[in-house]
Amino acid sequence: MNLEQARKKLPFLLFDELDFEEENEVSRLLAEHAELREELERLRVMLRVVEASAAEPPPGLLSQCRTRLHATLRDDSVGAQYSEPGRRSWWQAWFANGFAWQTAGALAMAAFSFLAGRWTVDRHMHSVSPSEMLVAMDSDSSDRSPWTPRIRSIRNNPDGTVQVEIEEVKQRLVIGSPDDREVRAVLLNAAQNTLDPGLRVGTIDLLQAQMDRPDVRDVLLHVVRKDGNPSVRLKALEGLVRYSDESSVREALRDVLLRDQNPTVRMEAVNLLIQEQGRPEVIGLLQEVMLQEENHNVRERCMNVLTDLNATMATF
Amino acid sequence: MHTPRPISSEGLLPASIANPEADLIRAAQAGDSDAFETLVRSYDRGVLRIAMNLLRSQEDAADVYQETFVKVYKNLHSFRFDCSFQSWLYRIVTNCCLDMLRKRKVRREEATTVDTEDGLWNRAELLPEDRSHGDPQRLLRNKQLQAKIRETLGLLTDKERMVFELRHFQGMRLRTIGEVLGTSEEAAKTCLFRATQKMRNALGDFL
Repeated sequence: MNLEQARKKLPFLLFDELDFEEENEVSRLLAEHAELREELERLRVMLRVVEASAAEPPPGLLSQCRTRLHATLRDDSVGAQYSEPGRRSWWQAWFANGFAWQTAGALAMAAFSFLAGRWTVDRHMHSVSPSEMLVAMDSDSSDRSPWTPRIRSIRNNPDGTVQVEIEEVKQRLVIGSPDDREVRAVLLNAAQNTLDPGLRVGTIDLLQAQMDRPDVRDVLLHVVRKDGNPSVRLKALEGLVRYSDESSVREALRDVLLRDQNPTVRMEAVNLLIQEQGRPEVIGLLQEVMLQEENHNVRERCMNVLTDLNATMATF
Repeated sequence: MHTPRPISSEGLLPASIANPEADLIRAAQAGDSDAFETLVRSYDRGVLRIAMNLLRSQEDAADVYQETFVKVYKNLHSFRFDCSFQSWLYRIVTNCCLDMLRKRKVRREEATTVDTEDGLWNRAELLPEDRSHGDPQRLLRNKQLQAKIRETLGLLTDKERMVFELRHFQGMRLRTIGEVLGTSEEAAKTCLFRATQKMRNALGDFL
C-alpha cells in the first residue's frame, strides 16, 4: 500500500471499516508519515464538527408522532389489518381454528408454568437454572403488560452452570392527581431522568402547577443548571418566573447567565433577573456578563438594561 | 481459580431467551398491540432522527415517521427474519425519505432554521459556543464553518447523505447499510468515501 492508497483508507479507519490487514498497513504508514497523521486528524475534526451540526428532533416531536401513530393505528381502516389472515389477534386465531382440547390443555400447562414460575423463581436471578428462567420468561410473556427482557451478560460459572444477567423492563400505570405523593415522585424523577426531552418538557409543564413546593423548585433549579437540552432548560426557567426573587433561584440564574452554552437560555435568564431591578447585584452581574458575553443579542439586551439603570457597561 | 468469562449467548440458550426482540416481533405479528408498541418505542427515536437529518423539516420528518410505522404495521406479517428487524425497518424509513425527497423536492439544507411547534429554531444557535476566549475572529470562523457544513451536506447526493447518516450518526456497519439501501457493501463504501471526500474538500480551509 502506498501513501495515496493509505490516504483513501483513512475515512474507513475512522469508521472502523478496515479489515485487519488493511488496518495494520495503514497504521504502519501513519507511524512513518507525519502528513498522513495530520490528514487523519483533520478528518477526525471534520467528523466531529459535522456531528455537532446534526439536526436533533425538537422536544415534543417524538411524543406528538407517537400520539398520532397510536391514533392512526386505532383507526378502523388501518386497524383492519389485524383481521387479515396472518395478522389476527390470538383470540381471533383461536376461535377461527375452532376450540380444541389440545389448546385448552396447553393453556392449562401455561397457567401451571405461570404459577410455578411465580413460586419458585428468585426475581434477582442469582441462582436460577435455565429451565426455571424459561418458566419465568414464559410466565411473564403471558402477562398482558409489555415486557422487554434484555440480556446484559452471560458467564460460565466454575461449576459448569451458565449465569445470565437479565434486565427486565416492565411498564406499569400510575394514575392519580399530579399532587398525589406517588405521582409527584414519578414526575420529579421524570423531569430529570427520562431520555425523551419532549417528555421532560411535558413533565415540567405539569409540575409548574406545584411550584409552591420547595422540592419541585429544587428539581427545576437542577434542570436549569444540568439538563442537556436547551428547550427543557427554557421550560424550567419559565416555571421559576414567579420565584425570581428567591436567593436560590437568583443563584441559578446567575450560573445560567455566566455558564449556559445556549444564548436563548442566557437571554431568558437576563429577562428573569431584571424583574428585580432594584437589586444592586443585578448591575454587577450584567457588567460581568458584558465582559464575557459573545452573543450579540444577549450583549445588546444587557447593554440596554444597564443603560436604563444609568449604569456603566463595565466595572472599573 | 477459574475466572468466569463473558461468552456469546448464541448457541447457548433457547432462541426465546437469546433474542427477546424476535419474541416481541412474533407477538406483534400475532396481533399483540402491546408488543408492537414496544417495538415502535425501541426504534422510533432513531427513525425520527434519520428523517430529521435527511429531510431537515419537522413536518416532513413527522410524516415519514407516520408512514414508516404504518407500513411496518401493515407488513410486519411478511417479515421473515431474513435480516435484522432494524435493517428491515431502516430500509422502510430510508425509502420513505427518498420518496419524500423525490416527491417534494426537499432541499432545505441551506436553511439555518428548523420549523417547530415553538417557532423557528436556529440550529446554529443551539450548537455549543466556544466561550473560552471571546475572540470575535474565532466566533466568525465558527459561524462560517456551520454555514459551510450545511452547504456541504447539501452537495451530497441523497444516497451519499443516507450512507453517511446511517454510518456516522446511527453507527451502522457498511454491510448492514448495504442491506438497508438494497445495495452492496462495496457500493455503500463508495458512497461513504465520496461523501467524506466532498466534505473534506469543501471544509478544507476550516480544518
